[in-house]
Amino acid sequence: MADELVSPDTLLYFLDMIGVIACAIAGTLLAQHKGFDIAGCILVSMVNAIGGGTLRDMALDRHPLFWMTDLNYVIVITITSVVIQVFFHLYHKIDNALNLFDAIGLAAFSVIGFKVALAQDVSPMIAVMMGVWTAIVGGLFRDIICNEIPLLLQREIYITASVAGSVTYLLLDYVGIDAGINEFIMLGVIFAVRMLALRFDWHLPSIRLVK
Amino acid sequence: MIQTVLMHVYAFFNTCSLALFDRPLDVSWSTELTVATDHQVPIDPATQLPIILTPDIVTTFEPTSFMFWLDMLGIFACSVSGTILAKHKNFDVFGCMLVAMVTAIGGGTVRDVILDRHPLFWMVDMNYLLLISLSSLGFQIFCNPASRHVDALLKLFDTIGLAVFTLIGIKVAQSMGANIPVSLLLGVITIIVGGIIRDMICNEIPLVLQQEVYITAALIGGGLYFVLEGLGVTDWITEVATMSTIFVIRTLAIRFDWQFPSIGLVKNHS
Repeated sequence: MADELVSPDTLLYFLDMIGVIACAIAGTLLAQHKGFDIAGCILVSMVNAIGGGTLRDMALDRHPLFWMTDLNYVIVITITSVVIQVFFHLYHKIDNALNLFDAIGLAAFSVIGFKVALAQDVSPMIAVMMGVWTAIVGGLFRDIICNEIPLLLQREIYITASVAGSVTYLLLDYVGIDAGINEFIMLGVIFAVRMLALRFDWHLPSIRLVK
Repeated sequence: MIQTVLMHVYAFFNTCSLALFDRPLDVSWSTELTVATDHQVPIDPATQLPIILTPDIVTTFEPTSFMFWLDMLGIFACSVSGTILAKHKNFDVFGCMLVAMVTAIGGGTVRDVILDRHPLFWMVDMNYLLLISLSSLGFQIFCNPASRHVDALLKLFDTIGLAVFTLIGIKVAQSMGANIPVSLLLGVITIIVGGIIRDMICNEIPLVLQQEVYITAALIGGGLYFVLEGLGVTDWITEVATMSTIFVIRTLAIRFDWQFPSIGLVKNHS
């Protein structure tokens, strides 16, 4: 709509960029800790930021890849990574902000992945999975390159938040809520679950019967 | 479902018997062994499955349906192995499920992406994801990863998976027009990539690259497939021979602890 100040797509794109920046920062920090050089850090941050979306697009056969047509992604990642490397000594000051950015990124990536998959007419279960992939595969690759066990699979409410948001979307869609509003509800749910989990240190219980 | 599995197993042996001895397999439940005249099989309206095992349905056996069950068995095995390793690393519920999925469908996905074969098989057929999710959840709830029964069962399933996935990978690559070495390579990719990604996520050195003859078994089976195909042997005999060769080699390798000798000229004394 013309009279809207911010259209939903623009806002989503903006949040997407915040997520990309958060991922690029996280990738650069880990790579710096491992003693990678400038190009190595940039590469890790790129993998972290756009790896999930790339894998999703390859699985859905959706070419050309989003970061090949829209150069903003690559530029933003490179600049972020270089800046973080220069001001590496200040990184503990942005720790809290990074968590916030990361939660925004998780929510935005999940919503985008979920929407893209639904637009390709796949079944809801695949769409939920694609939302999760878009959000976490970048971090997974970062940890594999840096030879760490992925924390996001172990303790944190991360995949769970994404799945909760997607399921909320599907339920509300079944009830009959407009897709535009629904996306923002999904975004909010994922963000809220992630932030609450961080704040109150939530973990999923082990479901094994035999302890 | 059990009835369907049984039907496929029986149908398989029946086809073997027909080909080898030129008469149907005689089992107590099929009393009237007449040659099939019409293919009207009574179907249960509720389950959409054949009600009784008649000679009609078992003689119209197609290997693809049997392959489907073996495929599911292999998927189940990979999913369980992914879950075990993930549990061992203290991943949470969804983390375990993710690792299980990557292990089970990763290889096929990479093969299909390389061959540009879209849509991917697990996007069309929901059975894969359902089976993986359920088996991963069930295993997390009920099984103790330290148990030794699990280990033996797992190796058996894993071997079945190895045999089936290799064959499927080769056949898929062939159907997309790949030549022989590429088909072999894609068969190997189908079986090992899932395990490699699983070990990479869990921060281990990939087991499939070090262990007892694993890729080798697949390569020998694949070679046999092409030899038999070149000789013009019937399709299903070729397939069964390939699968059983891989299965036997791998089982023997596990049983007798076969290892490849190092081919380095200078021995390291350790």
